[in-house]
Amino acid sequence: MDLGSDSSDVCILSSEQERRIARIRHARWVARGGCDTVVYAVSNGEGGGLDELDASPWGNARRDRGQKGRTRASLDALPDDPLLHIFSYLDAVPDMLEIARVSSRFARLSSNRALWSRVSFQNVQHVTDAAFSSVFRVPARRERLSSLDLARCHSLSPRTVEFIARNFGANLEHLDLSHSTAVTDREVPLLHHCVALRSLSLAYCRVTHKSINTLVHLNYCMSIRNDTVAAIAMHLPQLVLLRVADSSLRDSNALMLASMAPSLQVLDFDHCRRLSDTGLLALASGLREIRIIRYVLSLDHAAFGLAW
Amino acid sequence: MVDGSEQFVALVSSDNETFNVERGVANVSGLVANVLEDVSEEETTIPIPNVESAILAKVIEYCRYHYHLQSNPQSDEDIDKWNKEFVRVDKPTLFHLILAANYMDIQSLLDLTCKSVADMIKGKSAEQIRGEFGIVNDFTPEEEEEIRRENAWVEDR
Repeated sequence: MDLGSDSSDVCILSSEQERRIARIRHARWVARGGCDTVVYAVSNGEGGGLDELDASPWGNARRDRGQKGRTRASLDALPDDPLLHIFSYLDAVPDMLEIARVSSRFARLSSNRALWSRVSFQNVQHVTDAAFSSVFRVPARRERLSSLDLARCHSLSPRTVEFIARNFGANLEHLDLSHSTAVTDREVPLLHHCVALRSLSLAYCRVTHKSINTLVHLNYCMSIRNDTVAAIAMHLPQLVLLRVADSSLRDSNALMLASMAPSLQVLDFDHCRRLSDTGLLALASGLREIRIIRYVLSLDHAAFGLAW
Repeated sequence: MVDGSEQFVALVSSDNETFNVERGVANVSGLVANVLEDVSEEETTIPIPNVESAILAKVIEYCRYHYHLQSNPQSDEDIDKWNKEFVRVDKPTLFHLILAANYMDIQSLLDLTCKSVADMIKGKSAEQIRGEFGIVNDFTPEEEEEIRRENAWVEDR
């Protein structure tokens, strides 16, 4: 299940429609007998990207910076939009970092915010605090960041979690810090800054019940307490995914979740032995949006009579 | 599934070559479909002034294959194989196809060609990308050193 799929706006560029309309108008006009040597006066205000409207397929060979010997049919001769479309098939890290080293034009394009909406460090799990902050020093790379995967990045320290909370708080929707050494009890409260957070994975992190108010992915945190669930329900009303498997979730918690976290779509409370039919029924009637529920414990439970 | 009643349109390339194409095939192009919506039945000549004949022929080949899939479905593996074969062309042709797909509004062809170029880039160093695609390094030595230092950690496993 990919919770990030609704934010797949990579490569849908603001000027795209405008230019498409311009092309269509142009073709219609030519089809009606207009001459095809017209000077195109369409502007998208962003510079570049319009070369394909020129009468020659390669436009004005782009802003040549004075170097000789540039191959005309080079990757570099493509307008910005097709190039960004190509880049959208590459990973932000490390592919775009390499692209940024190619030329000044590629460097500019590589930081396009649309290419930095979902960033995974799974190919470079050795990322350090300094490297992480240097990657995101470019403001455009932070603007649209909605999903960040730092699972198993063992070289990160709590400083990175602080950095994330301070810099990405407004937009970040999905954060995976599982198996990471970067988060301890001290950093968890900082995640309150991440107001847009919809899924957070802290599985296999060194976090205890003392400060797990904002924990969402509570697998293997055996000592989940009532006030934790209360905090989840109160602080994260937008929450769509909650995993509290193998925890001591009780009926009272279930009632609270059912009334205060109505957006929940995915709920994993596998092996929550303290939950009775009362709690299950409350969840069933309160969580109208629920789509996936994971619960395997006892066949006696009423859960199996509910049409989930 | 080309029966006798199928209507044809003439697509004219930038170098004035005319391609007579079944209407359905030509309609794979969003640009052509939009123009055809607007013009009367008799007017069936559509200039494609940004695309030269060699590329237009390739684009039509793509449109024809994908149009006929509607009446003659093939397995995903077969389509994938055909697509892969289709983009096995030299780089200038591939870039011209990208421009043509972009101009003629053929999203699936744009995706296919752009992904094909992305696959060539993936895993290469900046130096290799410059070499492969003939791109000029226009950084000053100082700029280059700064970026190199910033990205050094990637290789520093």
